[in-house]
Amino acid sequence: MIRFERVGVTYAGEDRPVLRDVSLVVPEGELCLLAGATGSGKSTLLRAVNGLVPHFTGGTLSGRVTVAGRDTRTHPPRELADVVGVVGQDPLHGFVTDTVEEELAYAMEQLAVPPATMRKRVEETLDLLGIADLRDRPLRTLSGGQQQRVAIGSVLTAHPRVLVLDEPTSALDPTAAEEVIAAVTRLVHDLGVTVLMAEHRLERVVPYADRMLLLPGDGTLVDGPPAAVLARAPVAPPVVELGRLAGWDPLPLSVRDARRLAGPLRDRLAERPVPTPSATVPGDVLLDARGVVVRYGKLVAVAGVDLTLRAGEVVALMGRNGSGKSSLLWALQGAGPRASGSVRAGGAGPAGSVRATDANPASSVRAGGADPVGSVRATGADPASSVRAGGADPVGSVRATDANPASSVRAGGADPVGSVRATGADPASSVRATGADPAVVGAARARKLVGLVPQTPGDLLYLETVAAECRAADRESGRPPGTCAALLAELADLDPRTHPRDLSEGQRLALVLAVQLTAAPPVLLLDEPTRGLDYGAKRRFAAIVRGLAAEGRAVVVATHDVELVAALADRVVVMAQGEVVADGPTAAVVVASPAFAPQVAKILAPEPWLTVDAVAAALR
Amino acid sequence: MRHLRRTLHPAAWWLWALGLATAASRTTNPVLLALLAAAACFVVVRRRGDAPWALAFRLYVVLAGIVVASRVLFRVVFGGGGGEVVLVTLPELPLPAVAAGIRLFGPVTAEELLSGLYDGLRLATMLLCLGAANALANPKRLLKAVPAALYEAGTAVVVALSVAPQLAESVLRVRRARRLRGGDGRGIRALRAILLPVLADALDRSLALAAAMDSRGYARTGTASQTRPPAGRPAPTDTRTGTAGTGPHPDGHRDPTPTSVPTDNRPSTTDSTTPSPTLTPGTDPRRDPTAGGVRQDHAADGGQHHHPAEDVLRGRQVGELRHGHPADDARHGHPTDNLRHGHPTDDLRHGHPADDLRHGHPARHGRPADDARHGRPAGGVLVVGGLLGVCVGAYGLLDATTPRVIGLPVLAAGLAVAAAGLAAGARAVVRTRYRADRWAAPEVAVAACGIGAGALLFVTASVDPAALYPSLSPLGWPTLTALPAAAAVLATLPAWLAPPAPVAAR
Repeated sequence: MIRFERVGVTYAGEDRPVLRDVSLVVPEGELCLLAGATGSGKSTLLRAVNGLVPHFTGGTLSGRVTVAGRDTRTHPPRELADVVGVVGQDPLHGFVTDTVEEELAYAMEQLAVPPATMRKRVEETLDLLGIADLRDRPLRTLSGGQQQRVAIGSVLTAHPRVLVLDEPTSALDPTAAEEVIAAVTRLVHDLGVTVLMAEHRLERVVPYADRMLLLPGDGTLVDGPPAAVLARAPVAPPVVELGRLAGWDPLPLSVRDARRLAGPLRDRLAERPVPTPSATVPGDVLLDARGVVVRYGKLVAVAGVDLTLRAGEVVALMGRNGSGKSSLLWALQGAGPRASGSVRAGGAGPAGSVRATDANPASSVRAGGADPVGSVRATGADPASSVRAGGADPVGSVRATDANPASSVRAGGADPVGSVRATGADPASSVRATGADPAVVGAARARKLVGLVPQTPGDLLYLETVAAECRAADRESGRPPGTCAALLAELADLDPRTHPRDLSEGQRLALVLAVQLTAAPPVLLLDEPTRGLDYGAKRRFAAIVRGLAAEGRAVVVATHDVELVAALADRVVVMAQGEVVADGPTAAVVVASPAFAPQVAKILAPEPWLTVDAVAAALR
Repeated sequence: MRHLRRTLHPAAWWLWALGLATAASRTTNPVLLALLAAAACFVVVRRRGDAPWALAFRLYVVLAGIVVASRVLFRVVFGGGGGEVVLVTLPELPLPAVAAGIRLFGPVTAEELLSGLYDGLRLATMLLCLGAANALANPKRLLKAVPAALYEAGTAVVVALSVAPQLAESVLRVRRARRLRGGDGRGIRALRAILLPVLADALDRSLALAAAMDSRGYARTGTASQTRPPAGRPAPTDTRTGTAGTGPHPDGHRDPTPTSVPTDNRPSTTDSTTPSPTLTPGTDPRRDPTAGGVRQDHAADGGQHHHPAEDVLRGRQVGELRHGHPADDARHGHPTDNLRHGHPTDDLRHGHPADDLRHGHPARHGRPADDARHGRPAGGVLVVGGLLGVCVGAYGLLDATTPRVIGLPVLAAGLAVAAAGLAAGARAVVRTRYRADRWAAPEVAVAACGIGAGALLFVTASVDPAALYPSLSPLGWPTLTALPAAAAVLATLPAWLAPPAPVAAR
């Protein structure tokens, strides 16, 4: 059905070919999964099937790509529209019309299908994808999963033989992703459509794939049945890695297959203790939010949420799309609307309060009155504040001016920052009394209290080069020049002359993270950071976040990625309909949940094992 | 008259509304104008649907009220006090000598007030008629009903209309993100910080949209779906340089706008037996989105037309086409339209016996592709010329002072030329329309009511002009005679003649 014969693709202006001598044959009716690191050429391969490469994107294509007997050299994409349907990464960007029904009919209109046939096919497609009750809805009001299904439906009405999907589930929560994958597998099984799908989160799709294509990144292609390809692949879904670790043969691809083989492993692990993801005990409260309500007109996005963030912990915020996660994060930062409720952010910041548990009990300083310790206040108006991470912070600035010698005793080395422990039993009362509300102190101070990396990090970047962005960040945060560049160097390896729009997803995330970290906020909020990151980039990202938490920050990650949560988070907060539904340690919240449990937990249930690394550590 | 609920063809409502607006422009009789406005409101209330655009009618009513009030106020302030019946005398404000001809306030006469009222009422009624058309006929549906020759322009407008709210959303998102960076919100730097991400976003989005539309077959010129490789096919290992561009990866990189690079400049490519499109090598459009965009269109066309292997391919396949009638649904009433090997299609009365689920042979109507290439410019010229003629003719018709020859004859000639141009352009286009609005008896009736109302007032203008322009000096009561009354009644008839709008299922 799809045949690549020694295909090479080189874009104009680049010296390295993206694809080199790629040959593959995809027979009819197979579900073919395409995997590879970001930038390894997955999108190029997918677009070459359709003819978008080279007709639309430019570049040089050598070799031959044939789809259903048609050669893409002679057929531009519009001539292939009746055999190939392409669904891009963001379905909303590909919608031409206003409502679902018209969108479904659009492709057929272009192909001059007779009106009676059009009508029939629209009805069939609505039923096939389960979107029949959405037919009159405007496209912008649909949820992510519904939009993805409408996008698939809109190319399906032309009855293509081949369906090409570019990361269909990256933006979706686990349940919506399952719906989309179920629809796709139904197409493969019932209609015999050949599906070629690129996906980063392999764990969702591998059980259903008939064939796997792996792009190692040097332009070549590895092709074969999933078990064979994954056995040697550098990155693999957790079930495969567990299989490799435990030496299972044949390598299981789905949770069900793995459970059948998991008996001996469970016995071996029965007496080992389950390690916790983080080694530090959470410290002082850095952010205290009570009764946060966010309203957009009549719609209530966040309905009275209480949240407390402690130094040194990583909190995962989970919930389906539309449950209010983003609204909550923006309201906590202060840049988003907050109808009512209070937020107090403050605290000693990094390198400080992690060791507060063993501080001298006499070191408490009462808030209010003659508050001598500027360290509680997080921003720079008070010259005694010591929230800056690193740097040559004058140790003397922390000392309470009432010269209480015991007030600055800290265990653990040259720690310049004192954390304030209230004498009361409520650990949050100190930050409540002395912390600031990010929404009222102004943007410049707010970003030193709470840093937020939004869902589309590119919104923050507007300058010509990475180096210019770093200089602007230094200026905006009032830090010495070079701070941001130093932080960026730790996070990613970027050429400072690159234009920010030319960066890959992971690199852009690293840049924006560095920009926000320049202000050294004690609390860091990340909104869906791992969308579009492959396994390797996710692992590096998790290590970075662990490092930030170890410095004494509180980090919140709002995400759908169950495996990331299992590997990274100490605590999980689940939201639904604007309220907090569950809030507790990771193992307690995710293990028994059908939607949020990681694969390792599902395989080794009911034991609370979350990651392959934990199992590996226990077996040693 | 019991009708099934359905939406009327948007052109019918617009014709009705334009007829009414023409009628209103011909008179200043307040009674008649009020009747016409009431007729429009009545029809809207009875026949509009629940959609959000229908509920905007009250805005038009408010706007009409504002128009009337402002006209009257204008006369009160700047009136000049001509006339005899003085209602009230306001203190006059003195103006400097340079503005000696203008008088502020002063005595307010009934004639001035009434004259302002009549003018304002006329304008307000015309506004209300147009608002009624907007409320009754979905504007986007009107764009869908655009004739096939103007399809690309219509598509551009539809896409622009849906992009505008996305742009607004983008601006809000970026402004919110500015706060995250400390939001030093003044001056050029802030403007730049908002504009650049928004524009970059818009550009990315438009490229993604263009790729999606291209993948779904937009602007096909009608090659058949089956493929038989022509004799003399080049060997498989050839290099084909497509519309070469600077664009790096779609994998998260920017700017796949194409330029063209002649193959002889690239030492690393193998020889191609097929010439690449001969376009001028472009400058680096990496940071110049507009240049790239324009070149892309040419390149896409060029890539298709100059490729001899393609031409061979297309030529052979085209020979197998049936030279059917154009698929343009705008010309309704031709049962032989949309023929496919002799099977009448159009609506659900006849099943489609040859419908094939899996083998995907979409119908190919219309002339071969080379006619498509030649037919388009001629059709465009005719359409533009015809529309100019329509404009001139409409102006002549509506303005009572122009000589009669510029009115109706030029309008008719312009319409004929435009129709010819549309027909010529339509033959080049190969697409069908999903659930197209049909033009049936209620549509004809509604349009006839509007046009009839306008025509009646034209007749009255030549027979009995005094009824249309009540005199202001001497002041006289406005009268309502038979013909204008008949026109008002005719304008109200669509409230019953048109079928009720469908209710949205909730």
